[in-house]
Amino acid sequence: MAIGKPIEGVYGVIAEFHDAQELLDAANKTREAGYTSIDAFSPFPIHGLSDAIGFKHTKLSAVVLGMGIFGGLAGFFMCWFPNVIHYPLNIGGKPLNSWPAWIPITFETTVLFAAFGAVFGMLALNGLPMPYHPVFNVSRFEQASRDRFFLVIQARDPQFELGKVRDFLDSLNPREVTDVPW
Amino acid sequence: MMPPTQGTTTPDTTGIARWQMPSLVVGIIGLVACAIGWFLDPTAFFRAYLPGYLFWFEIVVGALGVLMLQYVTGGEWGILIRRPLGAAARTVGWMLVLFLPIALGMHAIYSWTDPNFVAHDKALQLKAGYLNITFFLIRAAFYFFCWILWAWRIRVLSLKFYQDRSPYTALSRQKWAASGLVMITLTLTFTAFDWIMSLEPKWYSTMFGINFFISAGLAAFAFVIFFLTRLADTPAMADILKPMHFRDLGNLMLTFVMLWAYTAFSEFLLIWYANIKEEIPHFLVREAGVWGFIAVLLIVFHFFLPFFMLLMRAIKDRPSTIAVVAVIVLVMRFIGLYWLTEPSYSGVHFHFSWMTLASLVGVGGIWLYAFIGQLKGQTIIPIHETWVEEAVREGALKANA
Repeated sequence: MAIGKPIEGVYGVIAEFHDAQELLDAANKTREAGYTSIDAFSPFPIHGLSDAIGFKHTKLSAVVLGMGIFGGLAGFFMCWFPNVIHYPLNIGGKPLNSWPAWIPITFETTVLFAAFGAVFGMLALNGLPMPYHPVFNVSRFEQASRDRFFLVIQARDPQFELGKVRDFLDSLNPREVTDVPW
Repeated sequence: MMPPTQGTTTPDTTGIARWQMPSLVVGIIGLVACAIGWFLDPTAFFRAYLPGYLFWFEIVVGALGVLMLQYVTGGEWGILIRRPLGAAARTVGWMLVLFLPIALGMHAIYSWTDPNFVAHDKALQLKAGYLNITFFLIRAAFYFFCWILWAWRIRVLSLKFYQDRSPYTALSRQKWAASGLVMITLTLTFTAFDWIMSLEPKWYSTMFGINFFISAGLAAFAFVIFFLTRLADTPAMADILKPMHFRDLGNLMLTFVMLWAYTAFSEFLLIWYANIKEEIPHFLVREAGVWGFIAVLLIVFHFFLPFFMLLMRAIKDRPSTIAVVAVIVLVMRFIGLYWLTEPSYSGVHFHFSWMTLASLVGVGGIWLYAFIGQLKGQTIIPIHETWVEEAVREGALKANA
């Protein structure tokens, strides 16, 4: 998730909640109110939260599949090319193209490259590592790794109007609503 | 708080119970056909009966294994399938009765039972201490004793837990299940050696036991998933079974499909690479002609097709589509067992007898009758168990469950 540019001088407006259910309900109401650029933070994974903030299916699975297929083909080629073309040797009278013996390597490189695709693709898609993020400008935000639950409506949302967003978040019964400075 | 539909998800309300009598009738017709086959050609009948019996046997012992695994690990994935797994596991006594044709037909099924054959073979003489009729039957009796004992103990402790809801009862059930996993791993490994591998008494494969063991787990999983998909549209269960439930079960079936392929291929690779004349005939016969075609079918439909289908959520999440995967797996299990057993007699020539089909239908009908009988008198969701509420509501794997 890219951070984007400051609009109206803020990154967005953040609301703090006491428990997971409150955050889940608030996120659902925010999505239903038509906001699309929203994000949520919690100390532990909450079932259904990604649906509530309208989280879309990413391209990661396609990246992993593509890398896996590439790894499998590369691993097989790595065995086939030297054994059949480049340096053919008669081993135990077996045919040069002894493909069953290459399946373990093919399998391993498939898994390896798929895992690379998963890890590095994840980092590329979510923008990590991210040394600066505006939400940390809100001092209470560090509670998000302990016992507090946060919901942000970002300024880049097409419906974003600072006053209206503050009022809307206030209507969700949060503990506190704060602007997130850039 | 209990799930909203407690007490209503019985075999009667879900329409499962009405399949019991038709199953019995079909089973009896199948067994009558078997009896005719027995009368016409006993040798052909006994040989045809083995794969038909083993198909259903795999589901039963696989269900016992997966059930015990579920009691050891916990997890919400297993709560919706505990009752059908338990019911399947408790039919193991019926499998003992249905084993009788194999015990009676040993002379037709296993070549090492023939003293003349053994007399001309030094290797078989050396193996006779293990491969002899008396010890074979003693071992089979011991395996059945173990399976029945564990299925019974777990049943008793589950009923006790229903009464007292005591964590000590749950713990003691968990201990039985944990020791049972050791028991079933060992007994199924030796069952595979005794009942299937000894068809070719001079063949060696260290991978064979684990492959059979995993096949049984896969068969049980496929059967239980298929069973649940039949319930998904009934009014009693429609609100309970959600896409997440089928996704979790589909993921676990995917694991079993991959493990099966892993062990099956490893067995082939080790034997192919070593190229020892005691070991390779097993595969040489099964690569030839129609058997070779079936081997390709196994690679495609027992591994690749279910593997790719189960990767896709669109298929895993919907009862109507995951049912197709389960049926493919079950059909391939039977074809796999036939490919494993029949070439031991017919060699490279393909052979299929109507008596195999009669055995499959006969044993299957009787077994379904017994299975539904075991399901009766209880709800299909174990409404009193810990975590059941979460399992029904979220249908998700949770770290703390």
